Amino acid sequence: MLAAFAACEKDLEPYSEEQCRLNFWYLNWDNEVAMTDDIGDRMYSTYNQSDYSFYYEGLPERDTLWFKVSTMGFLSDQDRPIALKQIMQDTMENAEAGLHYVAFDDPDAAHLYVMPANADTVSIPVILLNDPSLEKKEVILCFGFDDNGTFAPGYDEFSYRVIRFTAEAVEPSAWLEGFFGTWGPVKHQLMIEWTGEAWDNDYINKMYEEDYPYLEYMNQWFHYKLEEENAKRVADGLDVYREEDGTEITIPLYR
Amino acid sequence: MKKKYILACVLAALGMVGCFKDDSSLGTTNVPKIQIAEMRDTSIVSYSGNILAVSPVVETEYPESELSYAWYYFPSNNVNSEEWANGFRNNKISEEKDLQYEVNLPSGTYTITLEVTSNSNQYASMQHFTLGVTTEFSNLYYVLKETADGNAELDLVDGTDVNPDMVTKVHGAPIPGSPIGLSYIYNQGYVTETGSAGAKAMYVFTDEDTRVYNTEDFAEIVTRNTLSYQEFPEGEMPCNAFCSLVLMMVTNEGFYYTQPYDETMDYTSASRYGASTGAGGSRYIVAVGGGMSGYVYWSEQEHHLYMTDMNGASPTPLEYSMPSGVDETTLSCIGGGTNSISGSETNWFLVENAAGERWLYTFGASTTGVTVEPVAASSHLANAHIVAANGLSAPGLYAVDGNQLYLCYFEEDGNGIYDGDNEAAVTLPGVGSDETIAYVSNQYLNAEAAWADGSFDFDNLVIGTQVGEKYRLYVYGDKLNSLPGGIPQKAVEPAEGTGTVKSVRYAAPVNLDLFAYMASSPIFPLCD
Repeated sequence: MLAAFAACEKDLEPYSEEQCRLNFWYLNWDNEVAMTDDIGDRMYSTYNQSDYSFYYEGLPERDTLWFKVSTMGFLSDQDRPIALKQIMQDTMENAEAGLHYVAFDDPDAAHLYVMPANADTVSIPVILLNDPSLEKKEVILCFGFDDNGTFAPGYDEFSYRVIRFTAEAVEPSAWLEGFFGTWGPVKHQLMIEWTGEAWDNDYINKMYEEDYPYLEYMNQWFHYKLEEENAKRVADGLDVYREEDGTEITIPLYR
Repeated sequence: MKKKYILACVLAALGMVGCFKDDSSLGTTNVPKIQIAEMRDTSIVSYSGNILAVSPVVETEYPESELSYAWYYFPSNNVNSEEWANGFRNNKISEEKDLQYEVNLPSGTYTITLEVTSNSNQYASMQHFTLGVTTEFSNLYYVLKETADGNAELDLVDGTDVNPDMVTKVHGAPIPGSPIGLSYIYNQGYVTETGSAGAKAMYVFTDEDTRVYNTEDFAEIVTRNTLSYQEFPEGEMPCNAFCSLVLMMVTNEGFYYTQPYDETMDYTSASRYGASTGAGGSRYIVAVGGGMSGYVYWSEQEHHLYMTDMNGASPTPLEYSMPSGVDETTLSCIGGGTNSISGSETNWFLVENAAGERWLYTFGASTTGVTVEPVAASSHLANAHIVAANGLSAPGLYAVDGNQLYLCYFEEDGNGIYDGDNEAAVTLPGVGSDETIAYVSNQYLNAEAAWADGSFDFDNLVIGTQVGEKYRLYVYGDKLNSLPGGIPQKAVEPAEGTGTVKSVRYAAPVNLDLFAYMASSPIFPLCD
């Protein structure tokens, strides 16, 4: 009985985990550093996926995406190498190192994959290459941390990322079907021409955050602009705007 | 068997007896208390150099040198997550015993907390009081008046004090155009140099212009040119605005909506309107079931009642039947409002044709069951040149006929005619026989019913009279339930100014978040 009431006075052990790890770094919806528990509740389920098209960036030969990573474990007073590896997928055509992206162990890029001394975060690049084959297809690059003896992968949820990329006009993941209707390359190009804006993920997400009513307004604006332009075309003896497969372009009013 | 149980219980009870005398030395240490006397709730005008001065009464055995003091403020509504982060200690305003704090806070209600801590053992005690913060431009009536040259001006009226012609004083010239009305919006967004901000804002509508003023500082935060993402066509006149889960505005030719400003819901846009999504309206709008059942307005464009909902859905025509032989397209609306007595709600619109014949539309807390009754020509309601709603205190509406105010009670005889056999003259104490009644409105705020701060709730019958070029504004009533039967109880001293009163709104310094619009009873009237 008395033994049951005995209290423990054992001191907690100091942190002593020698194995350092790496995680990709995210913010949740409240602009706080994300925890794994945030996924689904305070982060989109697609938090680790990126879509990219050379098309919306003016078809450059190469472009670089940057990803912030953070460490777990002790800091070091020396630079530490970061190793990345491609994780092959069977859902889409995988990107090919040297053809679609600069290999992570390419000697010209290796110096970029380093955690600086006494730092716990750094941004690392993924250099995408605009191979002509991307004009007609989309490829996927799934990559994560490789255990290089210095760092091991961290949490499963935060230890890999996915980039789907192409040089085609593709539907931005932020596309708002309620406001812009079904995505199509001709429609998207018309929206770009009419407004001078890209209507890509960055622009749509920016407007969504800063001026949501503007997106509702642009739904109305595009709807009536399309009506007006189609009327002009018909008056000129032309067909209304259609996608390449013949589908008539429509932008229904949101309400 | 039973005895055994009793014996066991007695032994167990004995086993639980504790000792009151022991050899412990810890219990001999005395920890004196700190007692802070209650502090009175108060209010103050912000941004005017006013000092909040409080000398707390603190009783304790600790020497003064051992005590430390900390004063904090905490907003009661619209608190964002950052402000919650450190609880009530987020905003420290003083470390002195006697508080001397110049108040430069946005209007609203705040909790002021004093924490007194013993430096020797960290024993602490707290006391708090409520501070109502208003501004020079809030917690008073905005009076929209027509000037001698036919333009619009605003007087700010606080009791008998009148701060006249504010638009000219602050912005250089009156608002062009004949005044139409005011709307007070608790959740208005507007463009700033760094993005957007929110305001409790007063809309001013004239037949030529629309302006929106921040009731914190009287800044002109929206104009006709910045109301919408696109330019309003010449001749299109915005005439009323109201807020629910979206911010809505009607013009004579259209219906518009946008996002209100409410940080608690991460709504932080500049509240600019898009393109019209429905039929043009009028000043006459009612919130049915507090808005939960929709918002109904008279469309002067379509000569029919239209409804939208809390989300600003594209307005649709209400379904109802007109009395035989009445062509609704010839009718114009001259009044409307909501009446809610003991949970029984009546919404009404009064319309007339070019010959002056009138019909009264009524319906309850749902948008179905609209009845349209002819108004008997002999009634005061048929002849009134002013009609106005009673909101919360009498089951009827006000009408002025022959310079006499009447309460026209809703009839329940079901004979299909408003025959005027239940109308009663209302005495207006203090109004002289030389004065002409030119304006009537029952203004009220019932924020408490919407789970918001009720400390500024009120119920006023506002009467504007005219003597030559001057107006007098009589504000009867005070808190809610101070107008029993909708009738003024005692004479009041009027405020006096020049011009003719067209619309009044009270700029209550209350923070209403969007959840307030989920209330199922009226919070405030949407039209005069």
